Amino acid sequence: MSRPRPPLALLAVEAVPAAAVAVAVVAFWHFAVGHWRVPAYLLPSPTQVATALWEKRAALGHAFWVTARAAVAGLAAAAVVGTALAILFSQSRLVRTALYPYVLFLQTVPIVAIAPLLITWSGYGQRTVILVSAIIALFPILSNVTAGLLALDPNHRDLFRLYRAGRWPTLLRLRLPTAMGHLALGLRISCGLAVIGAIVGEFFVGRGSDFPGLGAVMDRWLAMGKTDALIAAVLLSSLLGLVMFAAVNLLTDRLLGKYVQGTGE
Amino acid sequence: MSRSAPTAITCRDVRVRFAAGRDVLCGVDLDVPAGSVVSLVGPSGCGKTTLLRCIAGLQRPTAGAIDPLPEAVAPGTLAYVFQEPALLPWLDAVRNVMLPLDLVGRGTPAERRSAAERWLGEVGFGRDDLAKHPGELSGGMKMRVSLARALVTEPAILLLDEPFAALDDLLRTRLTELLLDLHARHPQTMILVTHNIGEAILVGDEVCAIDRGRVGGRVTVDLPRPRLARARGGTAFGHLYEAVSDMLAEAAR
Repeated sequence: MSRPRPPLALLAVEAVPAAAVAVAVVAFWHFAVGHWRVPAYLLPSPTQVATALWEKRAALGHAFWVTARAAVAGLAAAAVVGTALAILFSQSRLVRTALYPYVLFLQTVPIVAIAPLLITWSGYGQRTVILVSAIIALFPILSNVTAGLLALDPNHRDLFRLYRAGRWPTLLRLRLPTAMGHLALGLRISCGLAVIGAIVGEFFVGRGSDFPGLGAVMDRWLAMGKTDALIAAVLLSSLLGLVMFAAVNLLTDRLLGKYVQGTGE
Repeated sequence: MSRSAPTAITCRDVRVRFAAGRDVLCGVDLDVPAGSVVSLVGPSGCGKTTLLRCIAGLQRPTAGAIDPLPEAVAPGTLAYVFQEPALLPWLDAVRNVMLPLDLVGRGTPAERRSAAERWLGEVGFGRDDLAKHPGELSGGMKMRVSLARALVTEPAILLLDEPFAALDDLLRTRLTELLLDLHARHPQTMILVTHNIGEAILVGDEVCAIDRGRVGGRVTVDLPRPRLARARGGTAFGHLYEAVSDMLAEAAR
């Protein structure tokens, strides 16, 4: 049982306005750079960016892959840790009130402030990048899943009480399935954050090593004044965010779709 | 139903006061003979659902005694049908009906499945619909699953809280007949909470008026069983309808 999907033709029709905007922006960009003679180090033309994208395809492709891996690992870690913490939070008000302020701290502390600390502890490597990505992605998952675990339908709760289901059967058969829709929502919010976290992590990690991720190569090309390659990398980062979002949507629809359906009332 | 039949449920001076200080039940006395059906009728907010929840063990009375103590009976002895079907949307019809057996740990998985399929058959579910999820079922079908889920543990006491209130008239009549048929084939003690006087008479051996947290009167229903919904057209039914209406008016005074 899955949501009816729009046919491909309809998707194409829906994509037309967005594609038209893209074409218009690129055309204006091309015109503006030529007309006002903008220096290439400030804003290269679309063709220069396309050329840089092609010439550096090997480095960019590898960087894309490295960052994608880190973002996926960060998101997965955030999903596992976030869900585990949410289960803990859902079991006791005391635990919730004792730990929640620290989780809020993780959410509010600027990640650029703690990234150098994380490098000190975890080194210049992929582990640190994954850690930064996971920390940024954690909060939406944790808060959504906690809300889901606590937001039971009163009738369902009564049903389980009637048959004297204990803490664990209630958690496994009712709370967790109820929270799956919230997990899907949390993952959708967090997947973009995981990409941002990975790139921020790579920014810092790249300064002390020849780390090949998108964030690291962007920082390097910035220093070298290679604005065309830098913009190409920025475009690829956005593409990575979009791909992650699409993949998470597809996966949550496939795996969690039945939990996300209406309550059947 | 003879008064000499053993009593399945006894409530003595049951009181419930909510946190805000509002008295919802103000000393309810109720006896439900084993195997009989008692209908509780009354206006919204009169306390009938709260009384049912107390009997089910879902609400702790502030004072008074209920026998059997819900926590003293084996799980599965008491079943409850909610106002909404309250099905778990991620489980198909069979799995929803199996749930109480899973929770009380009765039988092997194969036995639970076969019991669930049997009870879904009893409530008029076709084999093609067994694997359907709640989102794919109509309101009436969902309520049938909900009934099958309540009956699957073969409870001694079945508590129904306005189970058909949200359905249209035609469906309501059909499901009331199903309930009558189920009770004829598997007699158990039943309490039906309803707004609908006709439904209360048709299903009940006794109709109790609840008003402002008290039992305001009782009318014994001496219609022969098996009953069909068309019994509503009979003279005897008309007299009973009048008697229950008068009792409710009297209780409200």
